[in-house]
Amino acid sequence: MGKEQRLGYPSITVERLYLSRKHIALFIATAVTSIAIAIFIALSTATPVAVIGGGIVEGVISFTSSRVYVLGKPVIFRALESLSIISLAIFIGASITIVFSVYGLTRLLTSKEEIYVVRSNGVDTLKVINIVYLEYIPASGLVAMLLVTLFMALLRVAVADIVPALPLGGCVSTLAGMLCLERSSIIYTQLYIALLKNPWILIALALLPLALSVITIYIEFELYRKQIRNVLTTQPQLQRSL
Amino acid sequence: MYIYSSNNLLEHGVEHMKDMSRGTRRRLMLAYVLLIVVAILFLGKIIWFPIAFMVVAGRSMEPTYRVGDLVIGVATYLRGFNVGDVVVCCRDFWRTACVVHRAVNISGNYVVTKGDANPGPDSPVPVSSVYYVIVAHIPWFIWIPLLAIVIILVGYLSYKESGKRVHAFPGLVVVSLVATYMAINAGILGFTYIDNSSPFYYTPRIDLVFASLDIHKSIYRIVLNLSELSLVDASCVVDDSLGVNTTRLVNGSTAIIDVYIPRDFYQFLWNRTSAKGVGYLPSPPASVMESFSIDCIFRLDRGELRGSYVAVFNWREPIVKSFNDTLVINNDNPVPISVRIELFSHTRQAVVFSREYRVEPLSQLVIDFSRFVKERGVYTARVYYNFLGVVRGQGAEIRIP
Repeated sequence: MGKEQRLGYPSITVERLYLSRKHIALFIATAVTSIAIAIFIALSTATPVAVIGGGIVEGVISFTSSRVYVLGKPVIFRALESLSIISLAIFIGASITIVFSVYGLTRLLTSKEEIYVVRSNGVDTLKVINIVYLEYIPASGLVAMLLVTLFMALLRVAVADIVPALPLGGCVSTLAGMLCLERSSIIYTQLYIALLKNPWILIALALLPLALSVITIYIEFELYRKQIRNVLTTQPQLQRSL
Repeated sequence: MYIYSSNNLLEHGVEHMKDMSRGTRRRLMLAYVLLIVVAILFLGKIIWFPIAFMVVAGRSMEPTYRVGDLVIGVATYLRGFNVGDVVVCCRDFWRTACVVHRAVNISGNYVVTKGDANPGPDSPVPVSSVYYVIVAHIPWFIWIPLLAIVIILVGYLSYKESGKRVHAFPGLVVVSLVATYMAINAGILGFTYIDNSSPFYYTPRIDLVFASLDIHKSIYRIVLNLSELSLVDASCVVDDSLGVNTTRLVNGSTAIIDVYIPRDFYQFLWNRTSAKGVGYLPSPPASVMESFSIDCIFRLDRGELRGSYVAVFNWREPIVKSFNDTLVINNDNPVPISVRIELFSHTRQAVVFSREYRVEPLSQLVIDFSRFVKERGVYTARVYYNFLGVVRGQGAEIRIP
């Protein structure tokens, strides 16, 4: 039988992995981090980026919906409309992250199947979980990372390209003379002040789930590799424990 | 010593494929190819494909195209465009900042586009920035459900045909999920666009209704139509330096500002022009144009208006007229003029009357010679004065009955 398995190595699939407490803690940390980042990015996207006031222009700018008025008359600014449609990708990404993280986490925590490994210093309890469910966690972590990078890109476009194009005031020549209107000021909301003044926050938010996901994928691959190896080398010693 | 659970640790994952019929596989392959083609068309804009599907991302083309509608573009090197065609212009290499607008004017190498719902045209763009001509469009309520049904159907059939189980290859879920999200991002960023047309906004106007000098009242009146702005304060200087008083009257959107020109200022102008000297003067009564500037700052509730206005009037030589024994000298200038009047008697061949007078600004001097000369006869009244530094004189016939 062992010979047959070695010959059939390319078609071997291992569905279930055995996780120690440390591994479980790492997967939980990855899932929780991804969920937190996804919620943060989704809420940030829905939060106003800036408030314009103090002059002829008044309004609120956000990724999802913006209202800008010049002397009470609405500004037609198609770029802001486009931004609200493109921000849909952020909500889709946040939904994917949250749903799959929660699903993977739930599967991980509710899995009751365990095995016991007897070592020289005692007995270790290993949790058994299907690799498919386990993979949801690092996968959603990577989606969270992509989510943050997309948010960074949209923030750059909004702050560097779109907002400066707004008519904040200035001088215009009229028959009666040079009409200089009070410039409105753009007041970024506290959240965005923090993000714009400290761009490393977003970089850290992108790198954190990336690092955790890479580690968990590495662990998963290692467990998979070890299991394949152990299956091939210790098949005769297998015993049913539970 | 290790103890393992032994259920289903190994599986040969190719057995189920034997059950899949060749026809079903062919149909599935066809569906996959179709989906890939559709995906390529959706990404057509950013991969410079000759045909591209794009999703309308703004309301600038309403009611022709609504947000979410799918428009099908053909590259301009395959199909030319004319005025009236809807075209796609992009300003960046990746074609993410684009507009889907109607070409309203093609002049040389430039195209002017305009959104059907926009109040004005866009800035002209080079013809080379026009990448696609829109040839068809599908409303969102048709293409989105259709595409969703196809994707779900293909997914379901794939799942069904694969033995109703997902094979657990490590990395499969990660790659699938990340690839899906990247495809969503690429799709949304690829087939939509950030509409880069300039913002349209209301520009406040201030109209100059009237601005003129009333030399008699010594007031320069400025009438402005401020529309939605409100006048708070006004301050003016004359001739770049002299501060003057102003009054303002606001009636609705109309503001009337009166700038009071001091009388002394006219004397200053008179002296300045006199010192400068005037050129050729025609025979009396001559007229010399004079002007000065009035610079005003109107403080508004949300800004200020800096206006520079020119007040124009004429220095007019005194007009001398006679009515029998009465001599009338009109001074239409805002400054007093000193005149010396002599009355020459033709009978005596001598000056019988000589006196200096001051003709007040914008007034007339009337002299009844019958009070000064008792002898009847015909006289000539000679009026001498200094007009802008030039000594001039006029005469009039006086008859004393």
